[in-house]
Amino acid sequence: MPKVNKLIYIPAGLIIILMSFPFVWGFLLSFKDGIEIFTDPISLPRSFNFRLYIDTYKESHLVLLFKNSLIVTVLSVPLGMLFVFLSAFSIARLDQKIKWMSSFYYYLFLSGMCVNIIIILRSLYFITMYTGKNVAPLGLDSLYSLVPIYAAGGIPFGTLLYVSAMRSIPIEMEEAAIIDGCSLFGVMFRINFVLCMPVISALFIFSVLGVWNEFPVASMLLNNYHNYTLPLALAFFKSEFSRDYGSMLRAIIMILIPQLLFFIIFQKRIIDGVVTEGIKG
Amino acid sequence: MHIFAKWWIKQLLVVPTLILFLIYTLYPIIDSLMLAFSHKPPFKKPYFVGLDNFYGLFNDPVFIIALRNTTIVVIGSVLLIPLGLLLGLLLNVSFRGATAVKVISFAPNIVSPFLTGLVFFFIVDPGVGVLNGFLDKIGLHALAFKWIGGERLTPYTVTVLDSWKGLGGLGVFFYAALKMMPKDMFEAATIDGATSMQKFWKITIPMLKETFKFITVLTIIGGLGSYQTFYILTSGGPHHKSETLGSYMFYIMQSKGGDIGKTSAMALVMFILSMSAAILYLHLTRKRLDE
Repeated sequence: MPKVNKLIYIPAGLIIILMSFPFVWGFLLSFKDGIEIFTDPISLPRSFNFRLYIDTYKESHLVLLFKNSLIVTVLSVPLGMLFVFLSAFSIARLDQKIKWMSSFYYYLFLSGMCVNIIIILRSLYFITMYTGKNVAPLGLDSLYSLVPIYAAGGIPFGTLLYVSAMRSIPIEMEEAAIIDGCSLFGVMFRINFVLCMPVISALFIFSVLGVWNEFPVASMLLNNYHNYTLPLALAFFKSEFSRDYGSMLRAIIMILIPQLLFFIIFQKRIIDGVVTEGIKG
Repeated sequence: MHIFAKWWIKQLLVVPTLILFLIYTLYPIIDSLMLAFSHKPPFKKPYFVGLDNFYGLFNDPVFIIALRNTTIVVIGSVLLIPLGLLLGLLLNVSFRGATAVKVISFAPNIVSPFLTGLVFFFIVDPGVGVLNGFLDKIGLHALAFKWIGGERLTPYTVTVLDSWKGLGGLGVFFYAALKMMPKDMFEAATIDGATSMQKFWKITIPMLKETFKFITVLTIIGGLGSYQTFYILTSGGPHHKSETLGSYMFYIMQSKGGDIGKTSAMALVMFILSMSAAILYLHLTRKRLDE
């Protein structure tokens, strides 16, 4: 067993300070009102006035924004994950008549990884516009239009993770199940799904965070403030509260806290997920 | 790979993903690429103009600035990767509170770059930020540069900020990679009398080659698309001095009379750069599908 060198606590402590300082500072700063921020930037706030928080909360319709982000996330993440799960199963496990089909699908989906969302932003706008003419809820300025786009965004990474995870399941398990009379769907869901659980939960968490924080597509497709998702509102705050830095900070902190809570609760899973992916990478 | 299933079921499983991919990823890319070679007057159909958009692009001083800024971010981010390795090494030592360090350093990674950008605004802004205020107070006024919003420092500041944000992720990634390394080599080296430094440079680093390659490519592709921090801190800087490829594209798209050929040409440039990084990675690793 390695002895713990007490010196290790110095860099550890430094790292903790380094990584948390901006948030701590932002938090402290958020209790200042607009004027105090300008006149005295580096001191601690005069008073911890929670009233300011309530004011900012009302001004920003935070609950509405939260609800919007929630709708988009709840719809797009499970949908995307389900689709990718099915196709990954086909790629990883099922032989195709034409031998190279599986590889073709695999690399096709994987190639999406080097597509930065900015590259296809404009096309997405017009696709959504045309779709909107036929299928209204999927058109512009609708939260639902974001759902297929986000689901599609999860395809490359999801395929990578799922296929590696499925490939690492020993084939004997599935063969045994089939011998016992399990149907295809039975194998798929009762064996594969359960055994891939760590990857699935890691992917779930990453997808949720990715969709929750997504900005470019949402900003392009949503116009009405009432339809905004949280990140949009953040960017909006910077111009809206352009001189009222206090309000901005309070809004940031209020948006930050649920995310941090989510993270702290699930952190073990998240970090284990990165560890798993690190092994695959 | 030999579960027997009816042919149509095999195809059916892939179909939903395929459709989604075709509509929302593949088609947009092709559309974008084609537009890069066309000119589209407002409300009329686009027509082919060959490389004209690219001439316009490379003659555009803002594009050159954007390219320069993006390059700085990409190279800077790659150079800062070793810091992630250091963090990973730190996390590898089991001490009380290691988990806390892991969690706290990973936290900024999961939050939107807008959030971290805005929070950093209050540290780094020459007017309102703590950094310069602090430097002034302790008399180091000379060091109180214009970290953002000035002439030249913005891309460097943003690189540091983005690397800060990603540090936890890198740390955990390297931590995982380090944990995976087989212990026997190290033991053999210790028996042979190797020092820690020798073990580090001759065993650890070479074994991390694959991990480094992977991380570097992801960092390059990520850096190419970097624009959110820039946008939040400076909205493109005084007179576009701190645009990146991404933010400039965004800017043109936002302005109503946007030159679509130009944005598409830029998109193509970004795409080619990303693809090159990916292809380089594939070539260097030459991974085969059935291992």
